[in-house]
Amino acid sequence: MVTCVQDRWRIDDEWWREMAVSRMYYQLQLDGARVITVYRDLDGGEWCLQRY
Amino acid sequence: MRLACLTVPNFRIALERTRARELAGRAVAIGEPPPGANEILDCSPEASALGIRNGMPLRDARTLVPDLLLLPPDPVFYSQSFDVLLDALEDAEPLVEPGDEGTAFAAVDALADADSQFDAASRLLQAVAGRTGVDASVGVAEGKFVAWCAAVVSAPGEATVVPAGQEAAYIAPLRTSFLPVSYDVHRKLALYGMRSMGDVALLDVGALQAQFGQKGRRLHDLVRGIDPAPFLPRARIEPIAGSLTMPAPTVNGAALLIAGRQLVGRLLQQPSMRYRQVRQLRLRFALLDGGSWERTLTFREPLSDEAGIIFVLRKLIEPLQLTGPVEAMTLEFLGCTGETGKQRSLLFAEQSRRRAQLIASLRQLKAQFGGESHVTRMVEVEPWSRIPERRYALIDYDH
Repeated sequence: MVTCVQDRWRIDDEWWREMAVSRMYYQLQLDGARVITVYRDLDGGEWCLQRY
Repeated sequence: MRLACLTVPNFRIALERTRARELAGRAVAIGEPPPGANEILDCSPEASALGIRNGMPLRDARTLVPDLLLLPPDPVFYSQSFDVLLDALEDAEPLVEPGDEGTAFAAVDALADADSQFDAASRLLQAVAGRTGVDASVGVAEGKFVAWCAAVVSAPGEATVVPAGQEAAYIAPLRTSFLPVSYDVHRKLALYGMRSMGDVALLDVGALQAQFGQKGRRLHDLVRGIDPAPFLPRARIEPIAGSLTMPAPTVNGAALLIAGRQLVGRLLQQPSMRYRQVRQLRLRFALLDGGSWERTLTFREPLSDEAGIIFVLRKLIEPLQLTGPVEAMTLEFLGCTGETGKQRSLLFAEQSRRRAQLIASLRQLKAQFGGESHVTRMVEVEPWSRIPERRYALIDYDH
């Protein structure tokens, strides 16, 4: 359960390549104070967990 | 200490003129073309009279003097000629210290009278002219600085002996531009209206130190003809060198590195390298267009292992941008020392021992079962990337 959105930022990069990177990142605080980073791929729409 | 300073004005131009007599009397300059420094390295007095200066961009020089004869540098030829010059000096006087290219100091008998010292200076001039064909000038005085001043103000082929005790009086009328100090010090002296060394000598040490700090003390000594710089005669070293002609002229860094690797292996196998380590190496390239390239590199610590020397060589060769393809390579080991023990940290020794064991085991497994090793490690690839997964990569552990 997300308790708070600590930060969010957008990355648009590698636009010169065939597969440009366009992502919206969120740093989320979960129950129990665990913090994770997820992003939404703005081209495909899917959500991913950024593990590192 | 009584020293003779021998100097060849415009050393590189003088050498170029020995191998191309038609350059005599012409406005000639040596310039390093791009991708090198793209500036004038040396110029003849005729070119200086037209406004050409060392360090001037080549484009400006060509604009200023359109018919300037511009030669590519040949550093290997210059450095070999300088070695010949030093050998010639050593044959005349046994203790010789090399200075900047084209300048050297030799110890002369301090007890000899002025005539004998003049004879010694003449012997040096003759030795150099006979062996290298260039006209030098010599100054004999107490300490390096006054001897150098006397050599510079002497005409080519002439010698000047500054009588003992007359050093300060001799340099007093000379301009402050002779002083080997930084641009800032020169600028300040000019701002204070001090044109000659005699002007500076009128100031006491306190005033000079107040203006120039630590350099003030040195300045105070120099303008009084006192130079405490020690005289360090060179030791004769038999170089350990090897050459290799490239199969085809190349500018490819990988091909040059392979050639370098071969030379390192060959030199390390020489009997004279047994139980010895290398302190310095000199790499020379003969270029296809007739030019050359040279660098001397000093290691942080003496090396005797092939991998260590090749690592340094790679750092030298990889970023190289040459003006032409390399035809031949010469590698020279300089300053070889006896083997010395190395104190290593116990912790890191254990770490590297375990890593070597691990790599050996992985290779063994790969050889036994074939295919890829699935033991990987993470390395930084693009640590600056904004995309996290671009920053690192997984590679085989044993690579």
